[in-house]
Amino acid sequence: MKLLTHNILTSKCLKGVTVGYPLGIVCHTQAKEVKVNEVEFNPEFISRMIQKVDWPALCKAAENLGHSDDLPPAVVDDYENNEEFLKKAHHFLMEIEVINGDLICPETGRKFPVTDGIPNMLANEDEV
Amino acid sequence: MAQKYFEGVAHANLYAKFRPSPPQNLGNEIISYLKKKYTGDLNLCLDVGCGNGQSSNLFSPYFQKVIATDASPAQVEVAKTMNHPPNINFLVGVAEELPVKDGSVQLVTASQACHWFDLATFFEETKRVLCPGGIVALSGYTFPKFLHPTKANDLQRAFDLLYYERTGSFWGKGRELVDNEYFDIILPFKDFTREEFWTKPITTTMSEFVGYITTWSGFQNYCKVHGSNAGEEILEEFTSSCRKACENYEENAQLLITRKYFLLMGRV
Repeated sequence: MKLLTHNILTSKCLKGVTVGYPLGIVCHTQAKEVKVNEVEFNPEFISRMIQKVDWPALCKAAENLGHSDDLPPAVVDDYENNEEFLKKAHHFLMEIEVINGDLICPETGRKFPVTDGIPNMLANEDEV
Repeated sequence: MAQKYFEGVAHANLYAKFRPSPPQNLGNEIISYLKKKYTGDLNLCLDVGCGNGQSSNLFSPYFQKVIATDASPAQVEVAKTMNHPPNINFLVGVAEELPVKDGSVQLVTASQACHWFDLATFFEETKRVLCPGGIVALSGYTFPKFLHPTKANDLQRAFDLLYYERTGSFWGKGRELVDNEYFDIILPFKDFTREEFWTKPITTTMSEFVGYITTWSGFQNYCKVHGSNAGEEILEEFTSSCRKACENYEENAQLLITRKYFLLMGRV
């Protein structure tokens, strides 16, 4: 699960949850369960994604995973034309992947497992 | 995040009200192409960039399960409130990371959506999740063409002014792929085909048509920059040009339009 995906997920599908964002991330054994890949850089796409991304939530997630070195604390002005910033955003959004772990609802503590890189956000019928 | 979310909900509700559902034969063409070489069970269809599920319904009768994803939490939330068949699961997700296991999907589809994707990453993911013989189907549609017996050109002129001159610079990069009817998209698959067809004449009204215009991301962006009053003004400019062109104009009078759908399909 890339941090781009994590950034848009919420637990709002659960009964009684008002915001359900951001989801906590817990990995069982950090070293094995977080991978860093190389993904082709598409500046136009990253620029567009930055508009949708909640940057503080991205920072928190990267910190949770122990992979926040060199992550800018905020979106800079004129980021669309700042290749260095875009490359960093690309690295954190697209190249860091959680393989196994849990996502935690901030309101109910309910865990959504991440298995082989895929988050399972489907809730049971009695939870929605 | 909250501000973006609430704007998203308003947009998503407009989508639910005014965006067209694709014609049945689009679904038929896709299933035919799949079944030409795939003879196994139809377990899972993945509809990417699903909006409120306008096209997801097309596939629900054929597959055991449909997973429909959209990168907008607001769109997904609205989709869940609508009357969709029970075998469709709506999830928030990006096209660049598909939330399913390797080789588990027979059909990956995207309707009027793929021009916003990072296509290289999307195609890699598609190849990962499709089973042998599975297919990808990317479809889109052009702007409506007016079918008025005498005033079609005048109506078209008013429309072109609104799209090109008023909202022209407010569309994200990716829109031009639709305007080019996806001719620029090359599917990295060994079997590849392209089809296109015009719909039968569609009956609508001027107010429904204007409602559809309000769902345009270009129009939404125009309003974000210039304000909603300015947005109302350019809509009024459009409708008053149409009114001048058509003598017996009434807001709820029937308007006939057609759309061209184009469909790109590829097989792993």
